[in-house]
Amino acid sequence: MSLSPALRRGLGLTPALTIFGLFFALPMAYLLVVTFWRIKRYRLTPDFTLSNYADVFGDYLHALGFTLVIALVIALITTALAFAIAYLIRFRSGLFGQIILLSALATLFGGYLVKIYAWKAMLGAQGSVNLLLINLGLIDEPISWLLYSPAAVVITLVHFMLPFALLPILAGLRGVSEAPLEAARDLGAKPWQITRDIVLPQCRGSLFSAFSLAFLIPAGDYVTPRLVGGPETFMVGNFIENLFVGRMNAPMGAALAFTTLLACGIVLVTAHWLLGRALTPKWGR
Amino acid sequence: MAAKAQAAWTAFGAAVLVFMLSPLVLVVFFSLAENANATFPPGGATLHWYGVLFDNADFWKALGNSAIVTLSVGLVSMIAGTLAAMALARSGPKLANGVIALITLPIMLPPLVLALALATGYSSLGLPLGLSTVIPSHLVFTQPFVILVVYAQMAGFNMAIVDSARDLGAGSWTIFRTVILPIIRPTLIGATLMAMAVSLDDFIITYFTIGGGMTLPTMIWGMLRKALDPSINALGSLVLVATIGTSLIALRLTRYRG
Amino acid sequence: MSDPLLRLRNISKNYRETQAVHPLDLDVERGDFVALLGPSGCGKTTLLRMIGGFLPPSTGTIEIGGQDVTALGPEKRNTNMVFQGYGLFPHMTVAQNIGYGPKIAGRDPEQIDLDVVRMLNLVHLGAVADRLPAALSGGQQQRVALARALVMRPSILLLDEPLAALDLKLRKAMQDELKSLHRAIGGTFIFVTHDQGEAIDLANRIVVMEAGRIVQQGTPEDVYRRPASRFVASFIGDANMLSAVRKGGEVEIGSGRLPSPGPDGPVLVVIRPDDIALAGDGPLTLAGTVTESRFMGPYLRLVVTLADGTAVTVHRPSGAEGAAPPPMGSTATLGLPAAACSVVAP
Repeated sequence: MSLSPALRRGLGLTPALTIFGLFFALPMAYLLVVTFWRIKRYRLTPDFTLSNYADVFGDYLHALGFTLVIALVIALITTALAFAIAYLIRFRSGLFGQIILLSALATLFGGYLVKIYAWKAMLGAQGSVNLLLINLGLIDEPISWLLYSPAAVVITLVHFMLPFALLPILAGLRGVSEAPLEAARDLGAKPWQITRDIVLPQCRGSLFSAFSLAFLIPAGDYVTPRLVGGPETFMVGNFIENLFVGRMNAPMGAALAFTTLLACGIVLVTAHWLLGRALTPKWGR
Repeated sequence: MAAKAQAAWTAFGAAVLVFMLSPLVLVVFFSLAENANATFPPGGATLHWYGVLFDNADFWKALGNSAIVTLSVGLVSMIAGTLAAMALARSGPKLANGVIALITLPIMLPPLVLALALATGYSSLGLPLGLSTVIPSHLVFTQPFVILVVYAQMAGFNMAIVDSARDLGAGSWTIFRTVILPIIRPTLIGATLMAMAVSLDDFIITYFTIGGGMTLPTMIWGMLRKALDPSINALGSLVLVATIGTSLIALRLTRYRG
Repeated sequence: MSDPLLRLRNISKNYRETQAVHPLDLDVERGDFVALLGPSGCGKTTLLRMIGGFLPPSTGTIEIGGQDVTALGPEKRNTNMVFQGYGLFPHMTVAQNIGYGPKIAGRDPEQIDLDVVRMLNLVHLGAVADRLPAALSGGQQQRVALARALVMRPSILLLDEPLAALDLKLRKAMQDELKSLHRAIGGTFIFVTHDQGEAIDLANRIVVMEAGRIVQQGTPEDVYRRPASRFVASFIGDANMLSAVRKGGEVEIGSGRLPSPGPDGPVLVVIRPDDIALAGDGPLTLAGTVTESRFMGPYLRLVVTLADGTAVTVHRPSGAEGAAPPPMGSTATLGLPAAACSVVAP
């Protein structure tokens, strides 16, 4: 059997692209179309209305803003922490670095729900974090706002996203070779200047990947705020889920979902631009 | 000064390790402790909660469902992912990177959006929800892992080996079977195990596409929403051991170091 | 004579069990162009990196311009390095690479621009100032690395195998460029190389290293004409090594004797193929049979086998007027100028 190379490549890609098309592209496109539909007598009815978006802007702007801020805080903490850990692994080596890397890799794919409820148990008034702080003599009575608060959501999601952010940054750092670092040192740069001028710009892409992931996943999460966020911490994900499941209003839920994605996109484009600006050399013309 | 900096880095590393691992360690710890509230003091060591879990008929149903989903998803991801990775390895880097960016989109987006898109789509087509809707829904976010890992190896594959096999008269299928497959087999199995770990652990997509049934993660969710059931720690530990164990074997096979 | 610019005293480096550099002293004068020459693993790069401040020495002190810099890192020393493989910043343009050091030093922006332009002109890279290193040829990358170091006006410029990555033709061109740069700015250069031809061509002083020790230092001519050991003789250029015996301060070789102070015992007499005369009539002659005669372009390579079986190589300019080369199988009397002979331990 002799097939042309191009045809053979096409055949090889067919199963994967079919899965992608049928179970990602089509449903997403359909969901986008549904945002312009409406609900009549509990049934989805084709239409072309922007009222869902109007309602989203009327009722959920506040929730959206709150969600973006929380997600931004999570993404910033996660990326900074992941960079510090990757730096430790890449430049300070040592045993700890290797153990951390192994732990990150091993726990990467497992225990989403388990991690959330573990934090729920740890952050409670009787939880191990408060117990530890009391035993260390740092506090006298349990901190009540550790659980059922935005702080709990941030801690839990930083913990969940950390391995995902660590790996791309570490890959980026591994691509930074030794000689330019020595050259910078030779030219008089201090360690923090070397990090800022040579290391960070060279792993700009991987920093941004890590940041995007650590921003997008939390921005759409509803399980974490539900379990550890308490009655006050409602994120967009909770509203979307409620619109679909509780109020059976798929068009509005979908409109809220796409508005969130769009808002996230704007945040990420801005972040990319800021990152690029911050890390571009400003001398030499 | 250097010694001080080194000490600071060591302290930082230790703190990170505690932060990363203590939640998981505590879950396993309390699954083996008598205290039903999962708080300190833990009480004596016991396997009681595992006994409670194994007496629960729901657990066996959920385990069976998880096994069916995980194995089917692993098998199909492996075949579709490998075929795609091989095809991409033979195309130019531009096309390959484009296709990879597209096909990894499902793991970049919040799972809730994809879950609702799938649920809405299935319901509009009138498809009955069940394992047959869960499995393809998982494939869309497990196959990228296989494609990424296998493509990474194929991109660095020494094509001279393939050329010499061709030079010796082997056809494409023979080359794949006798030369390429033996070399990439560990990577292939490792990548498949990664896909299986992701599938086994998934909650959100499963929850919205399974209808009435139950897998291990949706069973955890059910237990979380009811009154405190201490055997949740036992169930959580089993899921952790399964996913982490699978991941470790996968890491060893693929020699993936981040 | 003034104090040396660079003064190493008792400098050594060991990694656990291996002694990369044995305790050594070295002085470098202002304006010198020094080659650290030796095979790979001889400790020359380790020594250069200690001078640059990248490696702390295990023992000893390093002084630059009379100031003890042993404890200072590279960022605090007025030395700059051209790295093997260049170490250019891949995300910065040529101009940004060159401007990086002055910017870190806090020079004012206008001054930085002037410095950068001056350097771009010096290394003839004005046309590619805004390109990234990946878009440059090997020779251009080399010149960026040079400019990036020179813009700091280092009191000593260190170069680690600066030309190793270039092909032969480019290497020759860069050798000329390095020489004229050194002349133009009048600085002090120290470079590491394993290529004896490069060392002889570029340096005014060669420091030969073997197994972590300095085995000889001197002008290229010194090192070439008067090798201090069998190792130096064989590492630098072609050499004939004739076994002989020293007795009472004289070495008996062929028809005559060479004055050579030292203890009695077996020695080697080293003489370069181009120092041997074909029709010898001096006090030192060797008789043998021509067993090989080859045209090598600029010279003829003859091998004359002596009665005891020793093969002696002789180079003779191929364009030399006068008698045609002796035919194969003919006998030849080789003349050894005493001044060209060195006596070393076997």
